[in-house]
Amino acid sequence: MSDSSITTGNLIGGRTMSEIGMAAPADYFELLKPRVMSLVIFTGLVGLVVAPGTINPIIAFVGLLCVAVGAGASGALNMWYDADIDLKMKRTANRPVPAGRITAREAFGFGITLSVGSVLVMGLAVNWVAAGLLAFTIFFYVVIYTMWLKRLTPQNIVIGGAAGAFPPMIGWAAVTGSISIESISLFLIIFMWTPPHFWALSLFSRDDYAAAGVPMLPVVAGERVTRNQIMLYTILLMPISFLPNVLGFAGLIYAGVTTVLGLAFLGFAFRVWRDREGELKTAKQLFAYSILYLFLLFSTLLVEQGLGLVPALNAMVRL
Amino acid sequence: MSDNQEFPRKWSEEQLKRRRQRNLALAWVLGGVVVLFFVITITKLGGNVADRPVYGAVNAPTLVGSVELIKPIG
Repeated sequence: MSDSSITTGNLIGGRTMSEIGMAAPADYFELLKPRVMSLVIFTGLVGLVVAPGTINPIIAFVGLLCVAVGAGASGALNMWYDADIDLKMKRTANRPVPAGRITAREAFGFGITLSVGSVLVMGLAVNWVAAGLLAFTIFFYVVIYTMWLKRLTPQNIVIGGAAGAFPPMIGWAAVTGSISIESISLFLIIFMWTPPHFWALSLFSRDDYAAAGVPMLPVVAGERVTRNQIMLYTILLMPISFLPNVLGFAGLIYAGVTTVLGLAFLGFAFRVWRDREGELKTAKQLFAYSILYLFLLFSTLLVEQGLGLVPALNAMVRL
Repeated sequence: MSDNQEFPRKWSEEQLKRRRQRNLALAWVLGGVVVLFFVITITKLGGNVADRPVYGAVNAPTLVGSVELIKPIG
């Protein structure tokens, strides 16, 4: 964080004395990035449901709560550290810290408290493997992505995307107490999904990122390279999205839905790739569709498992 | 700039209202944490809460040295 006025927690972003102490509970809730949190909770839930074995529903709820709070804590720490660049971007300038409703120091304290709390409760109530994964996820998002990669390299979201891919592994570990190839496959799906998702966003937020000095791919390498990379990662995502079938914890419905959703994803990505520089409508469509894609893909896993339409991994493990 | 300069000498009505809202939200969160820890504790104890030995009951365990014996019923 380069802006010293932010690091010291003093008046920033045109904040005046009259704005001090004006933070509402909703501002603290906003620090948790609730929209990101909802996808994290959902993918964590899927990891928890498809994992072999059983877990007490109350302990499962506590596990998901810890994942949610840990994700929120990461968001708060991200907003603490990135307040200087958030201030320069239209999309983020009204966040509680750059807008001056919450000081950077308050956001830091809030984030650290929730991080430590969520990891400890996860460890004590669920298990320490899940807690370790949660701690590593928070560390990865805050230190590796936010503090290190985001301002350093255009590959920031490729590597940093791992942080968003861990929740299903945490859910899986909450049940099994371990990491397995199946949970890694869920990680890989989100990991490969992240670049086309974020680069679509960065295409139509390019000016914002450029103003803030964030080396996103369209800013550093240009739109054409970004569109090529979106296409490349979308193609790579396709075979990986079928890993649950290959590993035997997804059935025919998942295979069918993934095929249809994947073809549509390829279609959206192709339109982005085909577009000339400056045409951003298709990038916005791809961004919106990518969220729907991930949600439907994981929903299908959830429904199949819920309806008992897949051979239970429990049985396979016993064999 | 010292920390104290962040706080106005006199809070406005709106600031006091927001502070009440924050205090209330914090109270709810703390209450929630208390309930959560209680529920986790009971869940973790599970059936052991009901299965615990009740001394003085008909089939109460009798302590013999460090060995616990169960008296036969009747």
